[in-house]
Amino acid sequence: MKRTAVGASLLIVFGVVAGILVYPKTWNGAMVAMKDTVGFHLPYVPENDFTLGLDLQGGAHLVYEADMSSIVDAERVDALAGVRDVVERRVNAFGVGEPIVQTNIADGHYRVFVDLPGVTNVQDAINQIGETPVLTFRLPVTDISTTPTEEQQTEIDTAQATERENALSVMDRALAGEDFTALAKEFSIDAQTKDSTGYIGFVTAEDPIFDGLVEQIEAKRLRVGVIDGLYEGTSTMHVVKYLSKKTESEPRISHILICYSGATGCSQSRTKEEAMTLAQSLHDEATTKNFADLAKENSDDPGSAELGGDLDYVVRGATVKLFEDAAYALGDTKISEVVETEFGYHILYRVGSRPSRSYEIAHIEMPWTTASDVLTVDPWTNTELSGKHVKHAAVSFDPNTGTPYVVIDFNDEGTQLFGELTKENVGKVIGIFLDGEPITTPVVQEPIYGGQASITGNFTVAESKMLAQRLNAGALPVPISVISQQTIGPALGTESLDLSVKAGILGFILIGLFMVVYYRLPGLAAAVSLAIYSLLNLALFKILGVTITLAGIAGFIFSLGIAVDANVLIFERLKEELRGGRDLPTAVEEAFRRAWPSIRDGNATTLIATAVLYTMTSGSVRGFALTLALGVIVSLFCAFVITRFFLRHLARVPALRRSMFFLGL
Amino acid sequence: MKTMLNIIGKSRLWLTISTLIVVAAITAIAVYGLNFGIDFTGGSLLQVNAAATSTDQLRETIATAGFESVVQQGENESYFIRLAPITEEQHQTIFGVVQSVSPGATEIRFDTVGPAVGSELERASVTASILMLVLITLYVAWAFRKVTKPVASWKYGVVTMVSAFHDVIIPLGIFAVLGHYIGYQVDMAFVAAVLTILGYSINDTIVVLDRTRENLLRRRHSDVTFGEVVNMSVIETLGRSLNTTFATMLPLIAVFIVGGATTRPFVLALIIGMLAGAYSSIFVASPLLVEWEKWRARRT
Repeated sequence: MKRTAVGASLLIVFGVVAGILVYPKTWNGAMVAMKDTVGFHLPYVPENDFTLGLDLQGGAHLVYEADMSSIVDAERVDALAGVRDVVERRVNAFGVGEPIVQTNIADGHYRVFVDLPGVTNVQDAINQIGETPVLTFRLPVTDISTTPTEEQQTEIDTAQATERENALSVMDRALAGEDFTALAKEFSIDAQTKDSTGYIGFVTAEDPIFDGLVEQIEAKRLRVGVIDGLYEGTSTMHVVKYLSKKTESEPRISHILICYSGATGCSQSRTKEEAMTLAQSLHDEATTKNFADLAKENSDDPGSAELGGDLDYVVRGATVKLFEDAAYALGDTKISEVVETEFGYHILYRVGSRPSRSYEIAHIEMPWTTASDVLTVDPWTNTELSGKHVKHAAVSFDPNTGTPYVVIDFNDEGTQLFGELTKENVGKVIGIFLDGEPITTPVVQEPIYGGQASITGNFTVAESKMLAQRLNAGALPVPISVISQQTIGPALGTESLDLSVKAGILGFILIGLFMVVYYRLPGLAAAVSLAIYSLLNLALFKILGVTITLAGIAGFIFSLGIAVDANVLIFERLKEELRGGRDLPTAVEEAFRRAWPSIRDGNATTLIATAVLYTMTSGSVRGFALTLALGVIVSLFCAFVITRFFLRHLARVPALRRSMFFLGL
Repeated sequence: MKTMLNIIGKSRLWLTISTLIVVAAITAIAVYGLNFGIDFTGGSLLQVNAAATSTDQLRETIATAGFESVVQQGENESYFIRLAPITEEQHQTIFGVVQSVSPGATEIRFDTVGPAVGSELERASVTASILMLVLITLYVAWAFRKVTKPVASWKYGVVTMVSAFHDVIIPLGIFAVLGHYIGYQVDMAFVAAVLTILGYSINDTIVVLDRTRENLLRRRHSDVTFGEVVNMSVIETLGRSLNTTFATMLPLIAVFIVGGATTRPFVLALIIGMLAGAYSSIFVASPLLVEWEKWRARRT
């Protein structure tokens, strides 16, 4: 009997402690009353509430993804932690209940989960978090690679093969006599000429775009018509049609320019009339002999004046039309009349000429991939220093110019990083980027160990104030964006909670009734055991800080059924053993012993299921798995400790041994 | 020995019934397809309480604002509006539109899931299911390692898997039909329900097979046939199977009736799976084991 007493008191203490944890207010109330009446009291317990999930109390769940493309792999976890800290600071500023900010890394995605209980105005929350500036400090890349990697080279080769094939097929169609105008319209990517027969005009050997084309035509003595061969430009491919050839004398020109205030590129202050008069008098004075001297003394064209006005050969298209016309119209060794262009008044002297051949062509321009299309060069590289190191930001004014700028104070880590950064880069540029845009790119004069940096952009006072405020609220090391959100209205939450609790209580009563009606006395023991089971489970939720969600409650209620299962298995065994002729105490022991393998195997599979669910999922499903798993473990304890305790001692009561009615037989 | 129910004697009948039900479930899935929730497809779900409006009116008004939507009416005056993934601004625009047709409308919940997240979840669910099946098969093979005669221990594992498949395919089939007619969706909660059913129904099957294991060990020197031993085991565990199922059903039914609309599909999936599990542990797993053994005996 001693063991019974100890066991019973242990069980009672156990149940009471669990009960106290679940209902701390009742206990504390009783303790206050106790103190008032008898003068002392047992210790109070902390009045923790259950941690309710968003679906039960209403609120918002936001999932942010951090863009880590500019961060090297090794530093991504740190950067994500930085994002979390900054978002947490922002979120705490809302003053909502107990925000939860968690990081999550899965499959190369870096995410931050933000739970805002009680927040229903998500727009504000998203805006506030979203306004967080991304501040980075970057260094210019010194060794920009201009040779494509093997992968890029393959990419170029593949693209070029296709492009060449396409261009050749167009060329073949043109060669076969298809209308060049129509082909140009269909295939050309040259917007200026595609609708106008692809016409380019005359090109010469010095043409900047069709460099080398004229040499080819001349070398191969090509005839008028579509050229059998593609012309490869620097970034485009051309199918060329040679229309005609023209030979003319290309003049070598010297000139004197007299400009006036208002003419293009002129720094003289004379009026137009004065310029006109001066030009006229110079023209009257000029001869082939003194032209170079006059140009040196008077010409306002700074480039040619020193050379005695010499412009070398005037290629068509290289000068303004009025000038070109005058130059070509002039005879060799002749001096022109005064010619007016947008630059002022010119006097031309045609020193001589050379024969020049030019070719009239039309083309179909087609795409051509080269290394420059594939190489994406980011001239800046991130440093470890970023917005997460900002301790404080303030607006300051330049004492000389009065322009506003923002001063940043770094935290300890930032101070150290900034010190190292400036020390290593004296005489070089550091780029301060805000939201991906360079704000200022100062040259480091000397190492800065004071932990202060200033951002001097072209800010207005209002802009600098805004920037300082945003930086004070926290600056992110990388940009983030919302990829999913969930908002639950408070009404739905309360309703769900009420309904689930009702369902739980109803389920408990139904199970209890069933057990008592079907298994009688052992059933009653099971019902009591189940009540203790519920209290234990709820107490565990509090102790372990399990967040209770709708799915979690469902898992808990479902586990009631599983807890009953263990009892049912044992009782069925008990009946069998009794039918087999064993006496009650032995039958009880045998029933527990022989039911164990089934219960173990069955619960093991459920535990495997919950373990998989817990590790593979997130959110509410995870909550379900957790409460179900806890339930399974606690139910094993209840069946094998509590129910067994009751049955063992009931079996010793002599009256019961005969009253099979109480045993449901 | 008193006369017993002979369940194993009608093995072929039970197996035929099960086959028909499974075929019907597969047909339903093939015909209606599964109505996947935004958890998997990506998208948005806006639930509002709006008086004096209709599904058509809401859909048309939202369409004039430039958004394609599917609107369903829930209980009372609540509406479910399903959309492509939208931003918070678009969400506010749409809610504004809803308020314009039904002043005083309130938002109950809003979920939006990016398409990338959806496909990740899909992958995770598939991985979870496979992982679980593998782990449980391994566990069953281990638990039955001492039983090798007359049926090899791995066959218990296979039979358990077949009944697990049976228990999962039936709720899937029913949800295909429900998804088509009343909009029940296959979402993350459903996957959780299915995985739980897997764990639970295997539990149920194992209890029955466990008894077979025990009886085989105990009667290995008597002249009863394998079929008789299995039948005895099924009968002996029948009371437990029915009572456990009934007891577990009680709280589930309670949640289904009073637990509110949000958890109802989830609980329904659990209920259907449990019923299928109870049936399969009695009428599928053991008959299958016996038929398999008979077939093997005939061949040798």
